[in-house]
Amino acid sequence: MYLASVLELATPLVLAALGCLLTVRAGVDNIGIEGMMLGGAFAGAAVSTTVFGPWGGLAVAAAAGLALALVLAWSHLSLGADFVLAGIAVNLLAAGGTVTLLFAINKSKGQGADDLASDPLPTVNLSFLDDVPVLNALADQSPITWATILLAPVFVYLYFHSKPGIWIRAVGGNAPAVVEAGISPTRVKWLAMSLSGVFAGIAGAQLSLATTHTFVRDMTQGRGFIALAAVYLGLRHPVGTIIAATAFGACQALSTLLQVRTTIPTDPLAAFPYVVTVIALGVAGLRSLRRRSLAAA
Amino acid sequence: MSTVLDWRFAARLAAGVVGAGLLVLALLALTSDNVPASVDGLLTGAVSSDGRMAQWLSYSSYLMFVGASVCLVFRVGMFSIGAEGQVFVAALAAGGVALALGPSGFALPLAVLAAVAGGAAWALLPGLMKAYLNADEIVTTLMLNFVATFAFAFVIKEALLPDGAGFPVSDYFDQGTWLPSWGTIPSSLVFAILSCVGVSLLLNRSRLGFRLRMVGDSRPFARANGYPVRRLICVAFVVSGAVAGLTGAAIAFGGTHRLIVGMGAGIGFEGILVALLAVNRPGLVPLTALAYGYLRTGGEIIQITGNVPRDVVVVLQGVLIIGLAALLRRRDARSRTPAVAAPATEQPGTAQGDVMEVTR
Repeated sequence: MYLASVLELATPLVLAALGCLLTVRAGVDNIGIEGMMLGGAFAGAAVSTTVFGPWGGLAVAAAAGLALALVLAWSHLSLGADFVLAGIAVNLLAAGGTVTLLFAINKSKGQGADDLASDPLPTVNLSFLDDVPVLNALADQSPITWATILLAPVFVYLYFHSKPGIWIRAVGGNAPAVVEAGISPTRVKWLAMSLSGVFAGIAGAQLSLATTHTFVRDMTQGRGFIALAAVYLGLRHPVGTIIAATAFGACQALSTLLQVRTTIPTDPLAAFPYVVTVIALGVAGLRSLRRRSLAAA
Repeated sequence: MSTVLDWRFAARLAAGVVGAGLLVLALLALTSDNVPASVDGLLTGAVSSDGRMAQWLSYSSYLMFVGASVCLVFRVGMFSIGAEGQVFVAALAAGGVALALGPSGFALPLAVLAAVAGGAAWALLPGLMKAYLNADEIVTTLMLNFVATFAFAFVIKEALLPDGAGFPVSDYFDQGTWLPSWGTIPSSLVFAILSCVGVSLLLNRSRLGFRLRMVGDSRPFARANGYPVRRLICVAFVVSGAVAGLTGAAIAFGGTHRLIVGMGAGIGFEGILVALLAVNRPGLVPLTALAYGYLRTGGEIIQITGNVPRDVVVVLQGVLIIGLAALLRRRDARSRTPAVAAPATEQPGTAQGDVMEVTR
């Protein structure tokens, strides 16, 4: 039960974190990932109840994440806006835009509520696992969770061995060398940001089409920032990022469990990912400081 | 930079603002039953009654404090987005002191001191991490915002919640700590304008300010002049945190008169917008804060009177930030020589930091 909820809650974090990893390695801290997730969650929910159904919703969620990512890339790479400010702007556009559209849709339906019911994705039903310990966590997961589990190793492989993966890592590490190789760092950044948008949009769909069956305003609740934290806690390595994001998912699952079963306050647990990440950044800084002083000696 | 460039900049700025206005109109058309009434509410709502005018002016005063704080740290080239968390920590510290002292003549001054110290301390941490460990200040300040938000909620729920409270709040502060107002003009407005002037004088008229600006314009130049770059970075963080701390005190003693979970949420990001509108000049922040606060108050009002989500104004914020950030960068690129512009393009977050090279 707990494990199943860990998988369910870690899925959007892992997806968004892998997207973030690409942009961070290309030299852009993608603060806008939060807004891209939110946009995906809304678009998925809104489209799932139309003729296109939940799968159409999933596709549109990815497209919405991509669209917001393109806004970020365009502001940063074409207009020259700083990516921190552009990222904040994307989050504001998504937060304000989803609520405004939510209002418009609900009004046309004659509802005044703050939420929008979605038509959820069918779960992958493996009822023969129900009585198997541990593995029963997999018995009733969403297709997005399954795709994340199955495709994560593929992602790691492509990250290290495909050409785009190598370009992206090279742009953040040694941009002049990339230029020497005849590749435009700007184009690589466009690619990294676009991919992060698609990942984030799908992560948002997991929230509104699987974990819950509604869209609620501001429903991402900082998950995009947790994903960014996971990238740094994972030392900007894909495997580390996946582990960190899963650990943060476990944190959220524990928090939900405590809220339902006990009166133990959950705010410290909610703050935990952020505290750990600040400490990790400090430790990483200390380590590189020591390396430098050793090299100087 | 020449005045010609500034005029062109102003023209583009005006065009951008008009474009953003049209966007808001489109969003209102999407959600409102009565578009003219909503537009009217947005544009004149803030002055439609004494109460609303007071609301506008006090909200603008909060924006001034936080805008001045953001200007300072941005001018030193630090992309700290931590004002939000600093406001929370400051409000908590100030509220805690006020509640502990109760009715006492010292309560307000000591509480304001606590706010300043709280904001400064919460900013010092990422400052030290940036200056001495080269930790990406964007990420650390973002993370610390959340830590502050959750700590704020936790302390109120666990330690300050009065019996029988229906939602997470603290008791009201003693009335002696409530900031007075004169008619519709809150006293926090006066202190806020003074803070903007103070930050402006510090940056533009003092030796420390000159050095801080040099660190922001060109770290190699600052280093070549023998300025203590790391210490200056920390100073910038601390002073901006202290000013952000005043925001927390102003909201607590001028606005809510108690601590409420969620109070002041989002003000850090609105402060960034106000600072951007002022082209990072604290002297211009009072004007931009009043202008933005006006629109923001209008948004609150159409939400109440017209059943239109105030979030249309949030969309506007996003559009304005992109437009302004782009305008600023273009202007900077033109007015700076390449040699000076170089440090602005360095990538934060890459492992090779230039701050470290001082010691090599």
